[in-house]
Amino acid sequence: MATAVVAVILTVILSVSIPHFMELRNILNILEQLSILGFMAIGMTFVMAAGGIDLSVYTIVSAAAVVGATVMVDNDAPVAGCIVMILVGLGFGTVNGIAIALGRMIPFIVTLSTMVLAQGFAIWFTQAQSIYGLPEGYIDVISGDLFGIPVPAIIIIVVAVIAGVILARTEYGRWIYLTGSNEQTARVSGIPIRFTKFSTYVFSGLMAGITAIVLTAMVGTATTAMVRDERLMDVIATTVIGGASLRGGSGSVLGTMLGLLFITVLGNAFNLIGVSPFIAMVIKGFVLVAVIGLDALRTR
Amino acid sequence: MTETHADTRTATQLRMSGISKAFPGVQALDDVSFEARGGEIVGLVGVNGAGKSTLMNVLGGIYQPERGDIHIDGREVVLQSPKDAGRHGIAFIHQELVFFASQTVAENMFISNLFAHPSLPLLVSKKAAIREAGKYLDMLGSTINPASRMEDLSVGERQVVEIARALAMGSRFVILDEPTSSLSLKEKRILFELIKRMKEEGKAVIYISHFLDEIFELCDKYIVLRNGRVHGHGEVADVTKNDIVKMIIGREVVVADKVNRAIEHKPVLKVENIRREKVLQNVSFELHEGEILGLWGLMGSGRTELVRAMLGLDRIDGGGIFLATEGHLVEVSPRQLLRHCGYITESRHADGLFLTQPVWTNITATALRAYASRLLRFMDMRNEIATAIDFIKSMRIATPGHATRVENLSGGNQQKVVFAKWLNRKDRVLIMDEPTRGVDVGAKLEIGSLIRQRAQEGTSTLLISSEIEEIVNLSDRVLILKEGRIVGDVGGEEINNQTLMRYALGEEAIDAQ
Repeated sequence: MATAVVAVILTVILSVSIPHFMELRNILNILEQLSILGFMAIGMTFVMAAGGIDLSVYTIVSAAAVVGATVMVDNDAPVAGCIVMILVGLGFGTVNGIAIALGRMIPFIVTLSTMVLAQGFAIWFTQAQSIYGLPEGYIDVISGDLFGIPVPAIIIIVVAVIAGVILARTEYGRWIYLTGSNEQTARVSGIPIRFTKFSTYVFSGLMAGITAIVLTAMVGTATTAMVRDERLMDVIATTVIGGASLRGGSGSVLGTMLGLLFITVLGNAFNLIGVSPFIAMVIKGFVLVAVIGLDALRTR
Repeated sequence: MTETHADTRTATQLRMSGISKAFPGVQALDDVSFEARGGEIVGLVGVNGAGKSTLMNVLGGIYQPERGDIHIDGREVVLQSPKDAGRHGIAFIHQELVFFASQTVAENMFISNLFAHPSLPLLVSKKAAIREAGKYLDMLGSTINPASRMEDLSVGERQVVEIARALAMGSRFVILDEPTSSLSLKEKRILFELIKRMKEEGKAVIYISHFLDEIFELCDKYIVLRNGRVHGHGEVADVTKNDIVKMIIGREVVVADKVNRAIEHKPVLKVENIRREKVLQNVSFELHEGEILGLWGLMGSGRTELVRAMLGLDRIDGGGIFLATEGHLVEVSPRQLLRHCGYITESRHADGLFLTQPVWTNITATALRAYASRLLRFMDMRNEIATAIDFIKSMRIATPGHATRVENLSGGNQQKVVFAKWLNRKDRVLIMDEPTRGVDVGAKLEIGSLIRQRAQEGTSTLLISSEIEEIVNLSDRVLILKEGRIVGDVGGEEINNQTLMRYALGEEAIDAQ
């Protein structure tokens, strides 16, 4: 959580020093940008708190997007398309969950395989073509505004609050932390470790499905590479900045959201100041290492 | 400590004087002086957190002291790293051995100075390593094959390898930290022989142990640490066990006398013909209400295997388990039994605690449902924390607070958290596997009286311990296991060391002596 403080301080500094930063439009803009990484990062928070990792989440987004978009375009059925996106996300999540929780395979290897599998599936399914001509209504609603607030920003806030409460306040959330902290102790203590691990991957798949719905509407097309590879790094980094550990048993949705705010605000500020995007990437990389290094020092 | 005849003897000598070392919030060592000579075994004793490990870590080059100096053979040395310590002939054999499991014995022994291949540059010669390793193992009278892989050896054998490694490095000062905590009786005998042999060869051995019996059997000298200070040292021959206990805990120990209680014949748990191929042979017994039933046997007799099989953590090949439910014995599956019995496991780090989690979530982990709302299962954290604070007070768990991570507590206090975790679920049956392993004398006594108090209140306990005193002092009845079967069932006056050992070893073994 130390990093959360840094994020808030950084936001305050930027808001007084950079013109236009504190304008409502820019803040909403930040929230909108943040939402895409946000869903995946919330899913990753659950998976990592339970002691796993999900490398496949970003290619599952593409797979869900292309299948759902095809259904939408072919049948002019936005709702059915959205449901299909969710189902595809859940499907891949279930595959991960079964292999890891029941098959006792290593999360890194399983999700690496699923990552390639989902990517390959998306390309095969579309023959590498982008899907255009999405229903207007779908795009207007999801990428539009509600009471002047972008809909993606509303969705991410609602999802974050619900997920945050589940992880921090419920018995299921406790199962996740305890399983992530020590699986053997959890088993002896009567905690259903298989269900817990399984469900976090399914949840991560669900988040991939939601990402597909929002992102497809924002971009206006569905492609086989909806999320760039480097975004996976961003997702894991924000989760770790937010307090999660690759060893499991820690992390929180609030922390992850602050970590995300930190990364997004940083990028946004560079943009406003007019720093070259490549130099911005280098600086961002350094800041990431510094923050994670601080965290490592603190927990030593 | 005198240094009058330091130079008159040719034996090597190690002297640490006025060592002080502080960590944030604790003075771990305060003006500690310590001496060890070649041809001598020094027992280093004290409760957990007394400073034993810190002192040995200073000697091992892991910590640098703020004050004090170290002399070896009269010359001052500075130990900046374990490498420095190794160069001065100091070998530190840790309690939890560190090794490369998939590598051979020989490779493990020479990991820091591998042999160059005779003809191929940059490559290492496995043959030379195996030959050399064999030489040192022979020296120790061991039959371990230097080409076998570390993971295939028993814990005792790994320890022998570690000692051989210390010899191969030319160590003159060997530190052994709790070396017997996971050894069988036979392995312990072998280890003691080795230690005595090292002594005869003129090495200085520093022996850290909680077991006073071992100190008295093995050591020539003792030194007691308490709260980072020396609270007694001298010749072992001049003191009694009770003297040392007094130095260790700083007060007189009052051990409640054992009372022979009348246990009503009211079975709460019944095990019938549990079988597991090669491990358990038709084990049957009954546990009665309020009874402490000791399960005794030598290492490898099947004690832990029996409870693991009962609780469904290992497979069983047959047999039935019955649990009293509303006054009647009802057959249950091992998995159901696990849900209704507290199980204090053999190793608190492996499957007893959530080390990275706070004390309070550890304590409530077995009874989460009791704190969850009916709808949506929201946790009542205020109530959880209140429970934790109650346990911290009543069990005198030394912790800065309920939110402290368990990994920051001492071994004895960690073990108390394990107890709290199970007591909180209020099961009628508690199964305890080595409940006082690795805890200090003070905590051991407290845990012992806790077990008795619970039994008075009606909890039935199945107690496994490799410490015969613990079994004798606490049990109302003792089952003796040997080679996976029950060979004895004794109660009352019959519970004593001689009887238990006779059953555990078999009558023939005793007669032969």
